[in-house]
Amino acid sequence: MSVDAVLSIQGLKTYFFTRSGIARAVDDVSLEVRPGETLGIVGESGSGKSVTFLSVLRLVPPPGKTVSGEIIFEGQDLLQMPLQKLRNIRGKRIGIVFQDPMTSLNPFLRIGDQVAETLLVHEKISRNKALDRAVGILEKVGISDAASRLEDYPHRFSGGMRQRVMIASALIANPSLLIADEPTTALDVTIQAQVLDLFTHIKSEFSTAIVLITHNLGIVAGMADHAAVMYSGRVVEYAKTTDLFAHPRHPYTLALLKTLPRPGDMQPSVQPIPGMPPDLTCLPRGCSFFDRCAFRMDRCLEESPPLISFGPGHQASCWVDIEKGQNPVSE
Amino acid sequence: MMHSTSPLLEVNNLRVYFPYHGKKSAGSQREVRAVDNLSFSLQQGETLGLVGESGCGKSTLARAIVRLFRPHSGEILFRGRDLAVMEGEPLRQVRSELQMVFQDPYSSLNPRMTVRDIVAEPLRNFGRTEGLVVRVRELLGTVGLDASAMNRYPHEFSGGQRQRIGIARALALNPAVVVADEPASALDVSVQAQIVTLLKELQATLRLSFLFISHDLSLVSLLSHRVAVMYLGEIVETGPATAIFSNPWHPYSEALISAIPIPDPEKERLKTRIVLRGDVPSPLSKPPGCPFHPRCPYVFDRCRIEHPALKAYGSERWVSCHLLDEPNRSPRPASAHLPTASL
Amino acid sequence: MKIRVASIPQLAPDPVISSLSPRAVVWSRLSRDPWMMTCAIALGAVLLSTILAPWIAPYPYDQIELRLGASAPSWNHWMGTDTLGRDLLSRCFYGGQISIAVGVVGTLVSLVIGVLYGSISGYRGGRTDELMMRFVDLLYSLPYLFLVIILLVFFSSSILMLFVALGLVQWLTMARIVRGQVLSLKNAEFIQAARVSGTNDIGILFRHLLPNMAGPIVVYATLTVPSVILQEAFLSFLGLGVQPPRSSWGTLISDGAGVMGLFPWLVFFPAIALAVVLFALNFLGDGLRDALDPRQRHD
Repeated sequence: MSVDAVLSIQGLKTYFFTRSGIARAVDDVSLEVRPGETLGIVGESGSGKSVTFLSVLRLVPPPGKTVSGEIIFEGQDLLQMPLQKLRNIRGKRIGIVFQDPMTSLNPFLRIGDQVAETLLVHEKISRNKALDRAVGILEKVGISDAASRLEDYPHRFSGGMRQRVMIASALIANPSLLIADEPTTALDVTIQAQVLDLFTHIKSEFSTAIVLITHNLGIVAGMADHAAVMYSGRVVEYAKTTDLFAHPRHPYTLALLKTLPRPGDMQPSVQPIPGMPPDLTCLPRGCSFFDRCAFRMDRCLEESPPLISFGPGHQASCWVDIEKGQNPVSE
Repeated sequence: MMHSTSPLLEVNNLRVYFPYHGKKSAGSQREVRAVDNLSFSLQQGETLGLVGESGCGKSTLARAIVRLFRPHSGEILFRGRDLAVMEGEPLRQVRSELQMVFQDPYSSLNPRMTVRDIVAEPLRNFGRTEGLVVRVRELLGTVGLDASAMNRYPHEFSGGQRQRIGIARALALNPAVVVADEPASALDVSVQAQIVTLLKELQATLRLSFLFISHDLSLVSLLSHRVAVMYLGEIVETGPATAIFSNPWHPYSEALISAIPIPDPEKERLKTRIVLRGDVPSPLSKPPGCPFHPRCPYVFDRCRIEHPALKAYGSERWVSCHLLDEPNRSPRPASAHLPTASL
Repeated sequence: MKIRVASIPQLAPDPVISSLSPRAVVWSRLSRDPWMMTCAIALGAVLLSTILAPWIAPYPYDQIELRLGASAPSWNHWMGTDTLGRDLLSRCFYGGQISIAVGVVGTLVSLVIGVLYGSISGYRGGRTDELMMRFVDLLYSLPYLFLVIILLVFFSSSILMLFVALGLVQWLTMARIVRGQVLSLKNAEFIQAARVSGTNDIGILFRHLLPNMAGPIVVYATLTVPSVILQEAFLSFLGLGVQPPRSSWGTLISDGAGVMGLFPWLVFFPAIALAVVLFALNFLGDGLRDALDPRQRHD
């Protein structure tokens, strides 16, 4: 574990205690985010990508509970911290952007007050000064004529504009970490392009580390320095983004890449992954991707593979070296 | 309209307007022009991809074609008969040949009916009850579901499986045309690929005519023979899928295509993404002239005044853009190797 | 390297989700709750005793024994006798027949009219909906007791007329509830899908809309039963309901209330019978609402 990580998650386990059993939403996840880097977290729904970072903020809704692990943020363990102290970190040191810009803004509060709220809560600062800084940050995220829009209510803003407002309020206190959970999923393609552009701009202008949670591999390809692929509550592969796309080491990553159409190909085609992700309440003893895997072998049924190093900074949890084309199922 | 053989489905100058009851501001119309003077045709066995962002009217168009809405004006010719003016029993009869797959697999299946009843309903409606169970089992098999699914209820299935049930229902009556409104957009990536592959196979084996509607250009490119790009209730460009993707002529098509994130770090970081300014205007207050002009990077004076017509360039491509009539104007879409108008 | 997709078997559907039908789920949820079962058993016992009144009642309801007068509960008369020496237990059994019948028939009338009216109004929409709902508003604004009294005065005040009169004014709220439900459901994709599949309006109403509105309808109906029973009691109190020597719980209570200071058992026992039914129905209604709510099903 490098000392300089902004955020270091070790052995995080967050389970949901439902009537139909214990759902292991996050099962032994370890990750770290270094200053200024963008970490992409890829996975489908139910892979645990959002719950991992809700656990970081201790916002997991019941019946979910973080049962073990360490979350070291700027040298302090967030899981051991009193809630009062954690509140000073949420919003101030860690900014958060959620998926749906239509519901994450309070419709009864003026835009200016919502953006300035973080400052008013965390810093001893007058309302006017806070609003001044709100204007500054709103202009930086591309809201033109921000000063005159402070008094507006959210319904006057379109989806893309609201997401900009969300990003502004996440960035206003100059956090060292920004967590963006599917920030463009609810947006149209051309608006998504605008918001992605904004993120690129944020990366170069602020030194904030960014965790970008998304199901869209294309977005990770464009934005992230490192990427982690999650499947059924575990990180199955972690690598530099370029390595991940050029040399995927986990069969799930490989299969996921093949499900993506590449527009512009003369004969575009995709290969779907058969089956469905497993039920989190009764995960198999062995590898949870076994049922859908093209490289499976007997060992995978018995033993769940740990993260194995496949070269510098590249880890995957698979017994098979898929690059050597070993053992593709072919009956 | 653009083919010598007579098409299976032909839409001419279709308009679907909704009355607007809210506050009227200056310059806005009295109705929402969801589909505005739109024409296209669909051949037997062809997939037409209809692409556009939310609010462009693509879902309204889909529902108007299966006559869930009554169009304001225009024709919907199916095998030469105009659906737009049909009502009652004749309309019901024609609908057996025009089926639809819906977007949301969670709300498109009646939660209180078993899968057997859901898939059998269209058959019962048209009195095709002979060998009903066998047919239902066969349909479930076609979409890759086990016959054991029959006695279960929709809530017992995952999103992808539910979408398969919806597809089985749409296929029950052996329709000639299937309208699929964002059939994969509510699903996870890996399941999305399953559904799209299934639709593609079905289209080929059953010789269906498909109207595939999506906001996701990369999905459309997988399935479609031809693509039509919609903006504010109008088609701005149509042509063969591969041609439009490799070489879009309308600035909006160009921006849409460049906005798709490519799952390849090297290409994605090198490419120049065209970022359009602003938001899609409301169909309640369409801009004068070309509807795209407030966001167009290549806008010039004529665009603000004159509405460009959808004109043919070559035998297959139709584009509505003034730029194409002014070969010497620059800047222009980076990729456009413009043809000469064939009018 | 070619990956053969076909070689991998499709996973069986998620095994944890119960494969019970919604009806079985509702039943299992109700039967698991001891409080609900207590209510159901209490209601069943009262219902049975009124149905079996001719056989289990120890005396005829109209047998007068003036020499007894109003006597307190005893071994011969468990609930005592009224001022004319009639056995109160027997009168409660028979009275229950009328009260419960009024409640059930009144509710059924309101159910049929309200559900049909509301679903037509909501489903048709537009101008039709507006007209039909203005008519409901109009009826709402009239004092309903006034309506019932007019009906009962103009037509003979038979028990049948009482049923009709009560039912006719009860449907207004049901119609509004059903209309609201239809409005929110009719644009659901599965309704559109049914229309595209060639289902006619009647099929859409009975196969798609009604089953999905069952929850609120059942709940409101169970709440209507006690309210109709109370209204019958009120009308009987005014002398517009059942005529002596017949009795209903309402008339028994109103008669007893007059002499409450002297013979408290005359108001106490019928009031207990009424209260048991009202409580049981109210709780069962709440329980059914929860059991029918699909959001509560995946816990």
